[in-house]
Amino acid sequence: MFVSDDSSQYPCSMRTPTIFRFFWVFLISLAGCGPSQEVIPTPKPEMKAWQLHPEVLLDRRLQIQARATKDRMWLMGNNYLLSLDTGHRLVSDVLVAPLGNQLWNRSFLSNDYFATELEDQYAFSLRRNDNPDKQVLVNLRELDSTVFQLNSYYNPPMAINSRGQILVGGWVNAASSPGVTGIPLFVLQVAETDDSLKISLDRRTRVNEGLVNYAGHNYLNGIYAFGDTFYFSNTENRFYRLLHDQEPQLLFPFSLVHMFKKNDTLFAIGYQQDFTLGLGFLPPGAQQWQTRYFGELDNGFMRYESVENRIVIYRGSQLWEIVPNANYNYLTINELNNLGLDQTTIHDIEFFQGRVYICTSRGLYFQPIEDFFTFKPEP
Amino acid sequence: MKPVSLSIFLLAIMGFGCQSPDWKDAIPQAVSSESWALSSLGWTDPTVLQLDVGENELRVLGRNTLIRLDAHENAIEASIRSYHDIDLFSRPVFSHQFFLYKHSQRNNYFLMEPTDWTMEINSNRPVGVRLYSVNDPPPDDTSYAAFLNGTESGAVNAWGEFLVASIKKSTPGQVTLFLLDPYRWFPYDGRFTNARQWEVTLPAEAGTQMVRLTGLDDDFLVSTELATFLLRRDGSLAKLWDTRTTHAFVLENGWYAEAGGDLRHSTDKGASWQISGPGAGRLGAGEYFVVDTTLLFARKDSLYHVDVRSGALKPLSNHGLSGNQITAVAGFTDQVYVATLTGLFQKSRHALLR
Repeated sequence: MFVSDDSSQYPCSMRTPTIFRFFWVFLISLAGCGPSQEVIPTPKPEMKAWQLHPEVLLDRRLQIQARATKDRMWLMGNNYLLSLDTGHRLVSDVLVAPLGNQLWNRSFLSNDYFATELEDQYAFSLRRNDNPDKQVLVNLRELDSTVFQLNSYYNPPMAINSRGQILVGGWVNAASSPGVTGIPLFVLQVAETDDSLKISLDRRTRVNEGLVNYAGHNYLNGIYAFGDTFYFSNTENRFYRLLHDQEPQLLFPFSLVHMFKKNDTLFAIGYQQDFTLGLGFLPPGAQQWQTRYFGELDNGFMRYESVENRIVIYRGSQLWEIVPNANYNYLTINELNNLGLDQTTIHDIEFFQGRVYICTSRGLYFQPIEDFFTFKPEP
Repeated sequence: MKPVSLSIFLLAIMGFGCQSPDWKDAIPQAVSSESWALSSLGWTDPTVLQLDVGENELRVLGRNTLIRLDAHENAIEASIRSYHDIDLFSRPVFSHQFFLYKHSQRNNYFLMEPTDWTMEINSNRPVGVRLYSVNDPPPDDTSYAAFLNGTESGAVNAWGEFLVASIKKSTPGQVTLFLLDPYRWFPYDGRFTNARQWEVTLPAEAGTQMVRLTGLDDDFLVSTELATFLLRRDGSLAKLWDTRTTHAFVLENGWYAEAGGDLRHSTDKGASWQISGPGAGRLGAGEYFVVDTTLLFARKDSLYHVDVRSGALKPLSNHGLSGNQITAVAGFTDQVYVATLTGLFQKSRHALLR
């Protein structure tokens, strides 16, 4: 783990005679031993407990993903799509997935659309956030008979770009389609009229490079779209770009865990095969990605989000901020306040109208943004 | 001794004398007898779908885990005895309409969601008896068109025999129930070889919409949307009434069933039934639970004490529990446990009815 080597921040480098230092310690010790009501508390950052949203209760509490738009925050729970208005009030509540949300926790494709996977996982419905009944079914097995299921693994399994195109991959099961390797990819064009959604196959492509893991599977682990360009990687450590009129181009060895844009610079966080944490960035106008690697980060299945242009990682009920220095040579990691999140698992983080919301297995919790970047004191 | 060493030494001594209040953190906090308290058992997926009291253990079935708690003598908190991943790769799914009902059965059976069904019972055919949905029968089974999905697809009687609801290809408009004897299950290959004892097909007028399948001592109560039957352990079938039964359970003084808004009571193993009062289902969808001899009804985040003689309902305190969807209630050691979709809660049994 890389931390700042800036030692000038330590306040104890005083040039005082040893004897005064001794008295200083002695006085502090005495102060600590007085009657408890006279103890002067050491100043600590004020820890405010996360608050449970009072309208998201009972079987609506299991929250999986949030998506903030200008005037609405969409919330995907296990079975229900909820939304909050700018006053943080619950204003809609629709059952969308009777058998549970199955898109690996990432259903929202954009501010307008989400997808729900069907039970057998080879088909999905594209649906409008503000009108879930307006939907269209996409069956990947009809597009390609070698497809066994939708290719989704932990991160967003599909994305929609600025041309209204969806990139989605199929998972080919070695047992059902012997001899077929690689990952078939489909670019689907979404068209919408007043009363219906339509989807057509724009083109198909695939990535082929020996993409089979130890279990004979080849998984995508995340698809993102920025402008009309798609980015994706597979679990075998290959990170690709797909321009709208080209074939997939291998960028560099990387297993993607998150992408975001900050000040027009595109960032990709991911791992190399040996769990070395990496950061890729593409400054505006640049053609070539720059990469930095930070050694192995002992964080298992952490997830990464960006909140107000700051990188937040989370795992279980814990939150950390990762701060790269200006040259991205090292990272500082600070744990954030998680008071009140006992026995939860954080599924998503989203900033909306002055509040940071987190979707957890025990409910929708929030804090004002001013309180969010409060570091947890060292134990 | 150098002053620095001395100061460290002094600091250490004085620090030692001053730190005793911190030791409190190591002592388990007593569970309040009045308020429901979240059990601090340390797992991060708080969703509990079912509780099941076994011999000296409480089985806690989550979405992906089964946790067994044993009772330390005189201990308020139970501890984790074993922890099984039911399905490591199962997705975080529960189906919205089914969470209230039984997902686990006695004798280590599980009924999970259709897509996450983990128990593989084999019939004579080399096909796992999985909870395929009605629209999607197992493709390589020749005799069964489908196994009924949802909550009421199986029940266990006092013998540990398992009743499974299915639809046969030869009688597509009727429910066929078959009894499996788990003691013929060979545990290492995960198959119920020759476990099927008999099968019974319900009359066509009962329809195929199952409402309840419940083990009552040796026997089973079977309810569809249109009729209710008593299915004896020997396979004999008797119709009880031409209406659906929403709940059935056993108390010390006999069997109870809620149908047509009434709580019906039988003291002769289902041969005759008397109406004892209005059913708690008048509050809406909920579930009965028996803790010792106390009959409870749980609905959303509320608990009621049910007087079986009059049907009267007394709301119990849900302080500490409000906002949590209750899925199951069970008594274990001197505690009452309430499972919810958002955590396992407990309080002392003595405080339950206060």
